[in-house]
Amino acid sequence: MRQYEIWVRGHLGEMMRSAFPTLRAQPRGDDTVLTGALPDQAALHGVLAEIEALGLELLELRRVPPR
Amino acid sequence: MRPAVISELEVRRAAGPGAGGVVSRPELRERLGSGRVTVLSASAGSGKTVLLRSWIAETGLADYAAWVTVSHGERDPQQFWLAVLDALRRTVPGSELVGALTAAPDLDGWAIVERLLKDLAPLDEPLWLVIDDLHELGSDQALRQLELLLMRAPDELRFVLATRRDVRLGLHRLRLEGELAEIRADDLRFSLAEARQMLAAAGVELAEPALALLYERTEGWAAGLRLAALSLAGHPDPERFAAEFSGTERTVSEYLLAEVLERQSEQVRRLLLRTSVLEQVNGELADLLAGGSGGERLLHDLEEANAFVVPTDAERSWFRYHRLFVDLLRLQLRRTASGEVTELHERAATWFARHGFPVEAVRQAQAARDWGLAARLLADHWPGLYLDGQAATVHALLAGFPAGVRAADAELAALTAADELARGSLAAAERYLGLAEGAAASVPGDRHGQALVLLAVIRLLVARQRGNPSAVAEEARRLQAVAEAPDATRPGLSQELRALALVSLGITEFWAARPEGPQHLEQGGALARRIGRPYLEFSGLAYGAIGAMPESLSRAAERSGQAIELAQSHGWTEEMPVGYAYAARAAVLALQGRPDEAEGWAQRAERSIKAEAEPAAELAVRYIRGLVELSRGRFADALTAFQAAERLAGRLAAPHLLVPSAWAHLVYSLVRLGDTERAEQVLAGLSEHDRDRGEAGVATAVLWLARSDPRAVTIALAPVLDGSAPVVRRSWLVEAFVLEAIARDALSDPGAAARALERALDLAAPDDILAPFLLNPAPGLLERQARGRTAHATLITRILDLLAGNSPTPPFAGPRPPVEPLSDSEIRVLRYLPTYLSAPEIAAELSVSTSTVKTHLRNLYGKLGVHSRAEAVERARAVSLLAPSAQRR
Repeated sequence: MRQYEIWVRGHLGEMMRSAFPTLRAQPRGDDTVLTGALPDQAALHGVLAEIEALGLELLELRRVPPR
Repeated sequence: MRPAVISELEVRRAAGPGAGGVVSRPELRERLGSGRVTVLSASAGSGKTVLLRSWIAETGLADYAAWVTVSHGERDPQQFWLAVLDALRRTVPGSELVGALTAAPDLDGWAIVERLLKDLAPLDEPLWLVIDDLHELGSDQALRQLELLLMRAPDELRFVLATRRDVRLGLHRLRLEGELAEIRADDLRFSLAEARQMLAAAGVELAEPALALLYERTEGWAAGLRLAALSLAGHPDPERFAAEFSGTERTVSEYLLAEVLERQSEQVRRLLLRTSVLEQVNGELADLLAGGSGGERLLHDLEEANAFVVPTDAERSWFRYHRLFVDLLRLQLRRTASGEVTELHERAATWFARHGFPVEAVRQAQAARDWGLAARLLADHWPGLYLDGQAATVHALLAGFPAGVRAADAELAALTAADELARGSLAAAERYLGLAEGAAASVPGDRHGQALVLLAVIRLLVARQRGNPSAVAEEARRLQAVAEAPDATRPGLSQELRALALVSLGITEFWAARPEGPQHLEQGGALARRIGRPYLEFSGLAYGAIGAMPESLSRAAERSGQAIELAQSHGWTEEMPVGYAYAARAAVLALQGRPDEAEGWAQRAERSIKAEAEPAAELAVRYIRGLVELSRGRFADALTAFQAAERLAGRLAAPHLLVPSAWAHLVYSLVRLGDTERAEQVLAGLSEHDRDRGEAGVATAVLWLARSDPRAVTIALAPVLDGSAPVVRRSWLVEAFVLEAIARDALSDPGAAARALERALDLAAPDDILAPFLLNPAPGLLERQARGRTAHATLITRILDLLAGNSPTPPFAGPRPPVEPLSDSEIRVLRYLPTYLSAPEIAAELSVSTSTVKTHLRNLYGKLGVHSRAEAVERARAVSLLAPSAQRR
């Protein structure tokens, strides 16, 4: 499991959030950061594919080092 | 995947600027027509598809543009190319040039591309291939094949590719050469003026400041503007809407979709949400899932309102939702009515199953987690899917079951075994077969018989792959027993399984030279014709053609003719089974003493053989080549061919019915070349089994004839003539009687000679087997026969005419396919030779090392008999291994 932070443009409403059930969505200014743990690369690419499918603008992706 | 068709509505829509909400964008249209390749690369909802459709409609290109929309999650190269060919054939130039292709198991995408290049070489007017949603093409193979097509296609074939993300297609090369036009997100963004136009066309009146707010918030994003237009049309307070919208931070799509949904009637909302579980929807399904009626009307209305609903067939009975739209709808559905989702999937599964959409039915059943239903549906439709070349789809469907379910269900386990086999995992296939056997007992009564047949068919396929002849024979027996059991046949679906079983059985028996082979092929082929399964029918006929040769040349010719016709009308002219039909036809013509006609067919047979083919198949083709050379009197070439056949015979696991024949012909060729010593050695070296056969007897007779010992000839022929030494084919008997006549004549027994000759003519007449008379010329005897009492005066005249004009014909003038067949990998490299890619670049395309490519090149040059790349291309084109070069370049 790895911790990730994924930034997208805009705020996610209820509908959009439900597309990422394993991640927490927090507004940051005009954008949103999705944070959470993902087990592997496949899961990460799944999230990215969902972001693309929903037409969200991907801003940044960060792997957070374990504390 | 159905190719999307430009409906009349689109054409009407695009008639005027902004008509029906579609804004005319002339500068972008210009760019679409400019380069040989145009790529539109921008994320969902940017307006790519709308732009393309209006471009086609406005420039009147509908008859010259082939449109393919790649289905969501398409992983099968065959499906993709079938859709491309289908779409091309609907265009004016394409309908004349592009040949038909029907789905079949295991079609090779690379071969399809090569054939398409060949078909399109004469293209002399612009033809567009539009591929929408290219990012959905989940097959790297298909992408590489598309790339090859891009590189080698004639100039007049223009490509327009729409995708959501950049795809690796070697476009940078095209960019460098100025052949690429790109339209990206920034280009597709609407300008303020265009936004104004769009809203106006949707009947929305908005003051400038409000419009500016709207425009700023959407940033000119097409989907956003369209959703806004939908919400604004008829809105009581558009200014306030714009203000609220611009004030929210929620993403544009989510906000606006919620707005749009809210403004719809309850009925429409219900319909949209509940049908979002489907990839495609029609009126009936809409009514079924949403409850109620009038679904079709609603869908049409939504489509006319330009509300992200798109028809997928020309009759506008099937629709799909814009990808972005449907994803959001599904999320909304799950949020608001999650308890009903399973039932929606169930209802859809049943509808699809009943209306002949097995793949969708299985997917929906899986989505409902109704594994039992999904498994039954998949097992019932597997033979049809397999025959339609949907192996990759089946693989994806199997993956949709939990592993535990797959292992515990007998039919699913059997299908998984077949899938593993197709992917080359023999061990895994056998493991799953074991699981299937174990679970077989728990299959309920009414399915039991069918499950056993399915299991037996797959066991047979696995055994054949293993190559163990006794195991294969055992499995074939089991299959026969099970297939003929009374409960094995249920009307309808299992007919396909039965036909598949019969043809598989027949083919196995054919290889093992078992007598039941032709009968099962016949039965399987007839059943296949009745249920409309041309590929099975074609396979049965092709193998049946060779299988019929021992009995009757005319039946062999008939079968081969039918097989070739089927192959031609379905575009299967490169598929392996057709090689047998070609070989049979060549053999018949050779035996009838028509070598020039036989040559073309022999070449086609040789071309269709790949190095990876079963040695038995290659043996048959070499043998036929030998026959053709014999019939032209070219004994040295015949010898080479038969020697090659004999070498292959050494690699066979089971005795091949042509082997004794091949030895005999080999001896014959040696004798005719004057090497009687070697001929004698070969005869002495034959196995006891082969020596006891009639073919060896005839060969011995020929040897003695060359040594001028007619008494020895008659002794050698005796067992052949009285039938105690069997022969594989009637033509051998004809030859035996001809030789007997010659010998008797030499022994001053004209009566016996005449009787023998008449017997020969009797046997030869029905099938026109003239070769034995031409190979053992006896014009004096024949003339005497004609003057005496014979029933075959006409036949004799024909033979005499042929003999008169017959001298060893010169070697065939044109280029011939390589004597040693090319392997799959070599052919793949060959196809890249006409492009400008270097060896390392070709290696990158094929995902192999550069040294591997260089090895293939060396072998290629050797087999083609050339020394350079350019020569290789030229030679390959001359023998039709590569498509001819296009008009220009």
